[in-house]
Amino acid sequence: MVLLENDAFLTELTRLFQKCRTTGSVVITLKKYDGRTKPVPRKGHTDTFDPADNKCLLRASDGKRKISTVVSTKEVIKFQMAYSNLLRAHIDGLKKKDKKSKGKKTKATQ
Amino acid sequence: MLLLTYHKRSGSLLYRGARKQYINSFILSHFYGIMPYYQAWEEFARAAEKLYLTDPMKVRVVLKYRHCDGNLCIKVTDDAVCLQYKTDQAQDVKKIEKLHGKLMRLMVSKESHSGAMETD
Repeated sequence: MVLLENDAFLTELTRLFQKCRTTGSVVITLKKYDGRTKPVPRKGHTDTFDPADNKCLLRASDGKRKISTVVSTKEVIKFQMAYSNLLRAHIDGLKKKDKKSKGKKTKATQ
Repeated sequence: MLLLTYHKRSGSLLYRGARKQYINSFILSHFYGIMPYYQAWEEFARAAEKLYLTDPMKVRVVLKYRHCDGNLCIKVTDDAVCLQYKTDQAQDVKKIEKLHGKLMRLMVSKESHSGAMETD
């Protein structure tokens, strides 16, 4: 699992989407992250970790390659804009609504 | 034997299946361990946000896109309850991406409200 900076993650995610156009799937996982870098201590031992409240972890994979990044409040606005543009640009293989095209001259948009 | 229990986290009536997995009661099938796909987007979005707010640290959001098959699937789960929505329609991409973004913003913000959108 490669941990990347936000920009590098977006670049790699673009690459994953491009790789999986003919076959395979892209899986993206999003989860709230409290900043832990050490395992949770056993019962009886004191947990000296102070959980952060403002981070989330994003993972992406094409089945072979795994990448991840951490997003915090400071970067979320910029990251989210770039990320949603990326998703909209690459998730484009779905069916378009064609209710109105019946009876009219169909414009082939494929 | 199917037992009907009240699942506090999602606030709904669920069946307790053989594999100790909770199946939402509106699925009339008797197969155990089946993960229901929501048919209506609005319902799914509401349930997903509700589930996240009950325990933010436990919930994860999974997005799977298959270009070769032309479908997109979103799953929101806390490993006890699993909500899924699948689509092959282009018009749903924007909705799914918006929900994804909304949950991301909820995760990075300091939780002091109950789902209301904050304007920075």
